[in-house]
Amino acid sequence: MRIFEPHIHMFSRTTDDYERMALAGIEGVLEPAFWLGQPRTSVGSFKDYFDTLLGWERFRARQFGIRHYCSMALNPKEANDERLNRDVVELVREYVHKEGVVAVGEIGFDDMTAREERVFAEQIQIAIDAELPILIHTPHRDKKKGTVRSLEVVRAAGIPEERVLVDHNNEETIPLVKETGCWAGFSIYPNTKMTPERMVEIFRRFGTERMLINSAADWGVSDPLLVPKTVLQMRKAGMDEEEIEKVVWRNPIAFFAQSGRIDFDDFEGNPGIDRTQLHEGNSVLRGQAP
Amino acid sequence: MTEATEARAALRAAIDARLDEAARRWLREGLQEDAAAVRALLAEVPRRTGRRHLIGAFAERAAARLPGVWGEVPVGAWTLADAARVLLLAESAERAEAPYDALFRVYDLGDTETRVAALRALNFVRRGDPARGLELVLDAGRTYLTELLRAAWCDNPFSAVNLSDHDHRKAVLKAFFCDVPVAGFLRLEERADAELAESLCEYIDERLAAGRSVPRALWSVAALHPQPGLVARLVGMLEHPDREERCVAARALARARDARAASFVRERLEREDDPEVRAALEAALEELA
Repeated sequence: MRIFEPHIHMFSRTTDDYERMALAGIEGVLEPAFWLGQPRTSVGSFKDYFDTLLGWERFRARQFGIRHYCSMALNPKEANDERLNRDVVELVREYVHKEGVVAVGEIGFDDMTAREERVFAEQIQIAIDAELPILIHTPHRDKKKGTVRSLEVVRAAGIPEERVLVDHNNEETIPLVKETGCWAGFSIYPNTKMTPERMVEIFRRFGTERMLINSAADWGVSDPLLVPKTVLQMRKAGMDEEEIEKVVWRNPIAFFAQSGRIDFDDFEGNPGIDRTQLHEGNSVLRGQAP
Repeated sequence: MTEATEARAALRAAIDARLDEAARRWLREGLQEDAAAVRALLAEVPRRTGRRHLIGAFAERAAARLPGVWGEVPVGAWTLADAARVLLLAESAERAEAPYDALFRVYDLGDTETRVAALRALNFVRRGDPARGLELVLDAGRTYLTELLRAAWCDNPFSAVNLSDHDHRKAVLKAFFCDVPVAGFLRLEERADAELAESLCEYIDERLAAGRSVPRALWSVAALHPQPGLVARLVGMLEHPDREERCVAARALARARDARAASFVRERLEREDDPEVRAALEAALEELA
């Protein structure tokens, strides 16, 4: 099964993860800019982080035959920090025009504050101006209210709904998103968020149109193989291979292809893995012979 | 109302009573230092004061309070090092033009222990614009570090008084997500409102829909402003095979004060064997009468 992982924070993962992901059939990843567990205190930290996503991380992925794309944003949590939020939004405005940036995200709400809403709306406008899709993070807490409010902000901004991916859905929020033209993402997580079993039940009730799944793996207790593991669960439940492929391959690429910067053709041909390649003088081999 | 000088004097007396002469002298000298020098002293605090509790007797800790500028500060969980850090930071911040801004500076430059102390020190400096002090509380509230979240929200009269209704609701909700003990929120009964109860009930739905358990402490907070369906759920919990769950249900029903629950409580009481659950059921019946 060919898999595109549409939400994973490889910045926090090891080369072992890249290797296991490649073996499990993952050919491409989308890495959304997010927060790093520890709040940043200046705009420079964001610039370096964005550069890492565009440079070193894409290079690392290639060493394992995986194509790496990213989305740029000031995440909702750090949008509350008045020391940096305005400057980072300006940086995002600049960075959405880089190669390999296929969306604006993760944007949305964390605690549903006025600052978060302002930064959310500003970044939707950046996406509209750059003709990019957006990736919306729905909050962990007050998720239902946060989803309702996010959809209101989307409507007010006037971005076409087919360019909107609402992520981290669960049983409570999916009926709300399905009423719109937005795409719906589900994060499969070991302890919080969705489990593979619950996910299959949601496909049974709501179908697979405009639906996609991800691991959202990051620095927390998470598993970068949860998309392939959910594929097994989908097979076990009797879903057709074609429909499974739609969820884990065609849907995510089709959604981000609206950026004009990613296409199914990108994945044709041999990726040509050569780990002796250098990125600004460094290789993933760290001096070892392959 | 307690003045800041009075609050610091009481804190210092409590610390001094537990230190030997050398440590007392070290602390006395430290209290004369400016902010930069205090920052450099912080790392040696545990070596100088030791790590014993500020309140020696175990039985006295739960009720231990010191006077603070925004209300009494529970200090039963503090070690001597915790207390000395708070006093050093508060004393030097008090000499600054704007003490809350001075505390923010040391918070911003600090490690986790220093940040915890700065959050607590908000209760031991003179009152200023609460919005400036809230900068520390809100910054800590955006992390997932349990120590910081506890220091920001629990046993902290400054935040209990000054957090906006919106921020207070979000803090309680996040506390349930992060296993921060909600019992530590001072004035929770007075500050909890229907909007918080609604969010908590949605959280209950989300947990149950996912086949997960509901944190026990959640029920009694939700019961302060019962939403439709909550009392029925609590009545159902009276039949839970786990005695802890039955206790929680009985206590929450006492708070929800919905007279319709009385017959179910009475009926359970007739069959209940566990003495603690019985006591909770009897107390609930008194409230519901």
